[in-house]
Amino acid sequence: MTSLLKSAGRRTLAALPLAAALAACQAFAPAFDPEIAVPVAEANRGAATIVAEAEAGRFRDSAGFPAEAERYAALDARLAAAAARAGAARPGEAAAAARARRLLVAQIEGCRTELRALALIHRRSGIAPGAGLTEQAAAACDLAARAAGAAPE
Amino acid sequence: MKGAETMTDSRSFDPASADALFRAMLREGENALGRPIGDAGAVARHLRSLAQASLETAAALAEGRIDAEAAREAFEGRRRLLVQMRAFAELAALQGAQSGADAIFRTIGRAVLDRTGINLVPELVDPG
Repeated sequence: MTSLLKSAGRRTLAALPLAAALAACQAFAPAFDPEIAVPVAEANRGAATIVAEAEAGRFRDSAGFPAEAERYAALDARLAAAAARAGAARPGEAAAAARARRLLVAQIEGCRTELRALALIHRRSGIAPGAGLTEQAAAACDLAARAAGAAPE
Repeated sequence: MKGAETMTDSRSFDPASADALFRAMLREGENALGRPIGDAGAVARHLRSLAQASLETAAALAEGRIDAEAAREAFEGRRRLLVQMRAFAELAALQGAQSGADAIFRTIGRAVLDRTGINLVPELVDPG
């Protein structure tokens, strides 16, 4: 690339700044945002802990739900804030980048939805371990954390 | 879906039927996506777990460890998750394209910086 540039004429070189400035901005996906990635990663860890406890049989009984309700609510609030931040349109945003942004919001909302569904099962009947009731929340939140944490490089 | 029969037939967890179900889900997923998912990666790993969880739910329902409503909700969640996986794959492709664009313009920016001393893309090129 360097040798190519050295052989390039002045005019070609003069055109590069514009091209570079244009393409360096986020054409396909929003830039990595730690203020989204960090809370979603934390919520994913919180969800994984709830799932592990549920699969260990700790939440078999719905009577135990009120003691755990606050944990679900705290994770939901974190995710809601992260989704709101991810959902904000950027000025001059490219169409593909806007699509990527909405897809990220959908990942975070997916984690919220499955956590809520798990909380509902917990409240209604308790969570039977080994019955495939927790995998959805674990997977949805893992995907959300991966989507939000896509490496900035 | 082809794996459905395996799923309802299974009274206890059987890795062979989980694998058959996973293969069926993988095929369905690839049809929906229009491109290969592959055996590695987060989406394939979750598909495998979902296949396993489906068999567990079927067994738990058959054994009366959960009621029909819990089983129905679990399967609803899995349906939602398949939609989320498809969106995730699309997002991953866009993020990959962005990384590619960043890499190209990092190279160009570095070359321009070396030649002219001007850093056109400071967010990508570290002058140090």
